[in-house]
Amino acid sequence: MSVSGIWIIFRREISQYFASPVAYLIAFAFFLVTGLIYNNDITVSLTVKPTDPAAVPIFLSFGVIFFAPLLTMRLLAEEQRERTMELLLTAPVRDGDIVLGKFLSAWFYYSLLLGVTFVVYQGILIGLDTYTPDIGHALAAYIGIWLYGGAALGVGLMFSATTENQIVAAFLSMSTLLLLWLGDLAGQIVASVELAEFIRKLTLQGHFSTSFASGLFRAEDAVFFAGIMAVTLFVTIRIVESRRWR
Amino acid sequence: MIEAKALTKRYGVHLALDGVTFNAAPGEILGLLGPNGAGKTTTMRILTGYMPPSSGTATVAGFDVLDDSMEVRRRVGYMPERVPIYPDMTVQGYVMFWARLRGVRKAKARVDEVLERVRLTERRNSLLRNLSKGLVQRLGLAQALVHEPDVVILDEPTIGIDPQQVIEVREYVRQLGRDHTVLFSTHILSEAEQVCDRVVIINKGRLMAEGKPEALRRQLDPGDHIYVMVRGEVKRVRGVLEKIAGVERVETNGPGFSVRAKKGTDVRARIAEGVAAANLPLIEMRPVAMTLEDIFLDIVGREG
Amino acid sequence: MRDELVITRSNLGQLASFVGVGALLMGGLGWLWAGWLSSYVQIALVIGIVGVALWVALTPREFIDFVSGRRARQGTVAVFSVLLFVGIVGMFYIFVERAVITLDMTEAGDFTLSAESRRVLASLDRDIRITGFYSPARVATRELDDQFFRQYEIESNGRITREYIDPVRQPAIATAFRAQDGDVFISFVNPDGTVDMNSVSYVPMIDRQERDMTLAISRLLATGTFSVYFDLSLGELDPGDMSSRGISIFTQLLQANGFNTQPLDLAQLAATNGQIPMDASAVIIARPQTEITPAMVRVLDDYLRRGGGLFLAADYPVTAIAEDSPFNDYLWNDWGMRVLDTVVVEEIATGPTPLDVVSAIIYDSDISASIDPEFDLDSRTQFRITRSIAIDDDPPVFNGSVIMSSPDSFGETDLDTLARTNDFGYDDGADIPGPLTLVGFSSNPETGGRVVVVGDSDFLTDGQIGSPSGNAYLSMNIIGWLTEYTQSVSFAPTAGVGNVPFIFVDTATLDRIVFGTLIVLPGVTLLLGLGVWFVRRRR
Repeated sequence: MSVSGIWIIFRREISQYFASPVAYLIAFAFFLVTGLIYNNDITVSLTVKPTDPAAVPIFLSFGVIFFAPLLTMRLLAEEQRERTMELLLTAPVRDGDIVLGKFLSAWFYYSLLLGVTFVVYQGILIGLDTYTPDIGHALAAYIGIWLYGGAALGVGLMFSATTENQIVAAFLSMSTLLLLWLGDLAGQIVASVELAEFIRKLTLQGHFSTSFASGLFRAEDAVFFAGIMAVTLFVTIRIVESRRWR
Repeated sequence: MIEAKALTKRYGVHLALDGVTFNAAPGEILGLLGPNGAGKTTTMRILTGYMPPSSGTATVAGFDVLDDSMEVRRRVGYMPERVPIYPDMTVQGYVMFWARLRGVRKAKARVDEVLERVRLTERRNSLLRNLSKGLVQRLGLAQALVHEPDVVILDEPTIGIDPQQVIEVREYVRQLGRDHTVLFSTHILSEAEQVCDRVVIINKGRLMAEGKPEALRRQLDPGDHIYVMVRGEVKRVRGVLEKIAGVERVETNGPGFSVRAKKGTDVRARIAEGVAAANLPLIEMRPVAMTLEDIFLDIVGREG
Repeated sequence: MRDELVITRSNLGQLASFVGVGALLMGGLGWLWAGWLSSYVQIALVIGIVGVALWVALTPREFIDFVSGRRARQGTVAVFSVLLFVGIVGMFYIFVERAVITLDMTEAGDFTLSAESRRVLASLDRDIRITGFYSPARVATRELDDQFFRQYEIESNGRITREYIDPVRQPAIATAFRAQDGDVFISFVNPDGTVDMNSVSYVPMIDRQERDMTLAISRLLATGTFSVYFDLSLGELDPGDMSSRGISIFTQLLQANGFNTQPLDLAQLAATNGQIPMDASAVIIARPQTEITPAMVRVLDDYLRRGGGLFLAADYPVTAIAEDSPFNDYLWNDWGMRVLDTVVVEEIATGPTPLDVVSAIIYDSDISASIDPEFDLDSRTQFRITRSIAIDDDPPVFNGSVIMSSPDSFGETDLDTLARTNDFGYDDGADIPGPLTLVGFSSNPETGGRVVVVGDSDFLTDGQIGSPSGNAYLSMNIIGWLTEYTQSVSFAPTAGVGNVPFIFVDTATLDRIVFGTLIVLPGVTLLLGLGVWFVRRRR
């Protein structure tokens, strides 16, 4: 791994995000939908209860199933289709650098969108002099969904590496993420508590909905998300490498 | 500079390369000549460090493509047959990206220089999706040269561009040969002749022939198949031609005649003399370009 | 020229390889899943073996290549390296999970035990078991609850342990606990580690889970240490009577809070010169029908001097505790209180009739805790035909009123007319103007003795204790105060309960928020996108 290799790829991909109308469209949808959730939460809480600091992150735990693949679907699939992958692989840059640079660019873009919503939404609440939101709880929820998103992006990148077709990549990623989200409900159909617990522990929701979303930071949840990122990136690098010996 | 020994590459059951061996000396322009599917691109991919051979070895600038892949890639500039682009990047951005990726110091200056060299400076802010094929080819060259590599590998760089640009590219490659070792692939014999110092002929993954173009040409086309255009009455001209020593067959070929002589006999001088002696104006005389298929049939025929 | 479909040996070989390997994989998985070789698994394995055999036979060169060539090696290496990597990550995860590293980031400290809880846990000298019943469908709830329960285990240094049972898988245990899915219980632990079923107590988990659990633990610890005695020798209300005239609900409430309830025979104690048991935290005399004799008074006085607590609920008609009875004299002389032969009448009826007296004036004390009709109307007390209590202004010990009737009320002294004709009216000079004391207390700081007197006992009956709820609060508060139970089990509300902040914004601000977040933010993004698109087209 060379930092400069990662950085060069990262820079290019970031500039692509900012130069592509599609990315802005995704950002637009992101802001619109999270804005709706945010305002809805305020409306139902008015004079009755405090706002839910985790309202937007909880929605996003479902929302990234769609957002993450949209951000990652082109990252490697496009390279394969346009054949720039061949050129990349003949450049003196490690396969790992390529994958890492792309991943970090996607995560950065996601972090940007997330950060904007955090600053704006929580900032508004802080600015109200009639109310003090629970910033600690909100922070925990956002950190959780940030890591959760990173893991989802890792999955998306992995599938982007397997195909030339962006749509297929997006579809495979969304299906997998949906499965990982649904696993939370495994308890409804599985007979044994241990098995339900085990399945739940394998899902992304299982490490978010009862901890980060409630304002509790648990080290093992952070490790889980980081682990998913690490494993998906590892697999992605192996897939990219395999182009060389297939 | 480039050494390939018994290079073999298998894709599943399909044998793409079968024991190909050749060398390229520093500063030499080596041509890889062969029809489509002969294995030229596969050879190039191996030499650029993109993929490993199934067996055999290859070294570039003294580094093994398997063991020291990174070093090889640092020293090689590669232009694939279809130059891949990122549609939303600018010309400048594209070349800058590759410059940085290939470790060029003072990238900006170098990029300006190379854009100048391929004459893309005015289009530096154009988006790649809006460039014509010819410009994209030039872009491909820019990207391959920006890091001043010891070895430049070009895969059919003159495909699909207009004739004017073809000539430009060929001239450019000749210039390149002065400071770089160039490996250049094509399926046009005359192009190989014009540009390369030496030529290696490949077909169906096997090395067919190797040598200097003129030598090959002489070997393959000793002047025994000529196209002649003479002003005069058809029957008379035919008669004159048929009488020339060594001529075996004369056929009409468009406005002129296709003259075949005994294998290996160079009848060109005799034709000129014979036509002049008959007081017929010789309008045109040129060798009938041998297609590669002819060449291979020949070679195979000779071997067989 | 027609394209003929040529099926080469290599195609067949490839097909065989896919089918063979695929079938082997499915067979293997099926075997693992089911745990035994079902017929499907067997068929799959047979197909697999046949497929692979065909593969080898048709295209041997390819097979050898696949198994031993560089591609195979690389492929196998890649797969193994991924598995190894996953294994390492998994182990690291398990390691961190065992270490239980958490950080409560909520402002209200939802996941941190309060100082109060930690105090209770630090003083633990017995092992306690938390038993939770969760079915597979409630795995998420279990995890959420576990966050708290884990804290208890840690803070108590392992004296508190957790156990989770699946009520679906083990219905027998669930029945023993009378548990439903999602219920949580605490209990003591037998020396052999099993649950002491005698001490099982249900923990009502509402929203403040920490508070509920700590309270339950306190109650569990208090169990058996407080005993209240119900005298039955004077025809009092019966704790065992479950009709609307019994006080079974009151008794059960006490038991649910860990009180031991026992019967008392005051008459016999008086006759045999006995003593009220030493473990009596409080004595309850609820509507005696016959008079308390001087001998009984001596027994009571002796008990009170030992620091006991007495709860007397008198009532109309006056068959006992007459205004001039020996007990009332004792009560006045030693405690500054007397039950009067009057019936309180609210002219401007606050209850269903003028004789249904609702708590009008309430003094702040432990006995009136949670009784706040202004905040919650249901928390008022309501007495049906009650006598009033005179409070000595210059008492020998500390005393006072807790609940009084309104200033518009009066005490009807002509009880004969009332009994005959249900007539009442304010007779100036004879009747006593309000406000009148309905609940009075007295305490002797030197001896620790405490007395609470209420002019009504209907409020304790099953028929009235729940409506309104204030009656129940009063009854429990009285016992709590008398026994000082509240002292050891009280749980001060942490910041958040009661002053939960809610959000309030005016419509103008709300509009601005909506505008900013739904129009400006997405809009700017969209415009930027359009801008980029235009720039792109130009170039």
